[in-house]
Amino acid sequence: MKKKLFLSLLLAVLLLLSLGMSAHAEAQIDYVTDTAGLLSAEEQSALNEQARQIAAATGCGVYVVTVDDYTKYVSGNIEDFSEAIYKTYDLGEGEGKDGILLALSMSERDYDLCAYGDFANYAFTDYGKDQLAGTFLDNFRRNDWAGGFRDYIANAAALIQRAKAGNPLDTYVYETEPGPRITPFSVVVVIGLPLLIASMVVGGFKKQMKTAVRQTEAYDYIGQGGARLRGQRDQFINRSVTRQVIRREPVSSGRPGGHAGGTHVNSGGFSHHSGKF
Amino acid sequence: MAKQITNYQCPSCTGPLHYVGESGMLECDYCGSKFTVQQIEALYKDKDEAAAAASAQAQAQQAAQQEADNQWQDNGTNWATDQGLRVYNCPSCGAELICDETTAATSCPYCNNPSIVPGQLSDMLKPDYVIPFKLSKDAAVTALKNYYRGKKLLPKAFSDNNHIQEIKGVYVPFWLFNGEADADVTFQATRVSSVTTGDTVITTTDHYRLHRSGTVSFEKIPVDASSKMPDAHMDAIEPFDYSELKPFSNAYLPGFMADKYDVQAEDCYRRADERAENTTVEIMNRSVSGGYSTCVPESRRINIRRGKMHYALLPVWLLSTQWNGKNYLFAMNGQTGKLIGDLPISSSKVLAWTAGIAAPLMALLAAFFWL
Repeated sequence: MKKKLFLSLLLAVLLLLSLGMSAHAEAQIDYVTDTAGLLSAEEQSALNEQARQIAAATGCGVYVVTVDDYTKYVSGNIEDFSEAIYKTYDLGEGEGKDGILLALSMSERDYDLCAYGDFANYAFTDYGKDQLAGTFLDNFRRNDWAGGFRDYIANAAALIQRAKAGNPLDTYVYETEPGPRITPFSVVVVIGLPLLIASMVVGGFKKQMKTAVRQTEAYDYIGQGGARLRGQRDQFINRSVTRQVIRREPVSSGRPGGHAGGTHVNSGGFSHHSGKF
Repeated sequence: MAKQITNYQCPSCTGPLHYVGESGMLECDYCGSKFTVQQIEALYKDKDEAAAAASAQAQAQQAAQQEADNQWQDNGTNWATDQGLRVYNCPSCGAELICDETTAATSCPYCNNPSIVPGQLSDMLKPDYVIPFKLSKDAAVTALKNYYRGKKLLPKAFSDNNHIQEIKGVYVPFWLFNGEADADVTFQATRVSSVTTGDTVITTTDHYRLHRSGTVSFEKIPVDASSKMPDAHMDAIEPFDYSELKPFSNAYLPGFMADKYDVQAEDCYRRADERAENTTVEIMNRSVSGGYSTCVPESRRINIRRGKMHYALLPVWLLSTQWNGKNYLFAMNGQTGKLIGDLPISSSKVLAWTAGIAAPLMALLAAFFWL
């Protein structure tokens, strides 16, 4: 309890200093900083070790910060909070300060995945962060905090490895798809549509084979008098009006998760994926 | 006793004459002489009239004898008459020609001389017009071969092994109906517009009743007057070019078959009326303008005023063949060359084309959906 109080105070002081003055380059926090008290000491230690090894191996930091209420520290939103933490504690590895931070605020149940640095923004695309969030949110909804953080760190490491191999997870990669999805609609389209087109074409061929048909009109025999229109009257009867409400679907890029691909990086060099857990 | 049949013989060599469409003249196969229709008409006027009179006399005798308890006639025609047949003697070789009672022109199966029965096409039975053949038998054969081309479902064996079993040029009797259709048609029409306001689409439909009345005149709607000719075939080879209608003359017939009508005009009116009615309603429908979204006939009152009717012989090449025990009849307009006729369909080709079109499309769509 004392540790939790100390960390909160430390965060508050440093954040206030950083927002009011210049960044405090000396301040440091662990890879996993749990001021909200979600983890046991053993769990936190294990997670810290897991994250430290990844940072050492990949040169890209993977961080977790939990707070009771981020609004105590910043006046903006959870994304502003993440960026403040990242800058204040000089997070990130290497010259590029590459890293990804998962920030949780318990009172609002807000979370934010915040990436910084050229490599981190390359590794954690918008789609990649969306997929990464999917790996821990299910744990958080069951209050399985340690499990969620473990999944987050492990999957973040996997994304870093993919990016190192030059193949970051983006919208054009569908490994998370379960493979071909055979739906009744697709079966009808794949089988029915070609058969329909084929039968129409063959129907046209068949029509060529039957040309002895009786005439039902006599346009060729309209005489010199031709057609004389004697009277024409258009009479308005009534008006009917129907109203139909349009159901608007969420805007989608047509790709998984609605992402257009790549990473949207703000002017501060950060990219985010935030939401509720 | 005068003969009922006339052979048109070459004035130069007495060889048989036949009408040739390409030249528009009667030509002699033996000496190559050519004669205009008018020349032959003038030469054979008396002979044709005598033959027509003999034919009328023979028919009167036949009728009288039938009443007198079916006595045998000179030519022993009682059995033939019962079958709807007539027996004539070929003026060239004397052979008996057994013909349908409607036959007006034929050729002798023994000496192959063209033979005309003027009595079938004289007086009340005389056609008003004729359109002479313009296209030859060779043109008909070529047209049929061309007709087979490009027919993707035609069994290969049909076109490869097919031999035309019979080809004959026939002057088919047609009734040509004139008339006027007086129409009063009502349509239900709608004009639809829609605007989108926020999340709501507002569709406004204005309903109208449209009245159209008018008159359409028709000239020479043809209806075939021979029960032996399939109506669909005769309809499908239309239209004929009426600018080439000629006053009827027997001289156009040598070398071709010809029948007199055996379907009365009263029995053909309905078909001409129906075509005139349909066309009139369609013309009234086309007169509707003003950007209507839909226009559907609601009621119609069509009054057909029938005008003068004509009787004409129109040229048709008939080609028949057999395949797999089934007869296939083709008809070609002897004036314009339009050829029609139903063809057999190869089941294996239907299957092959269906599979050939569907399979690649299925593969493409499967790749799109499932890969």
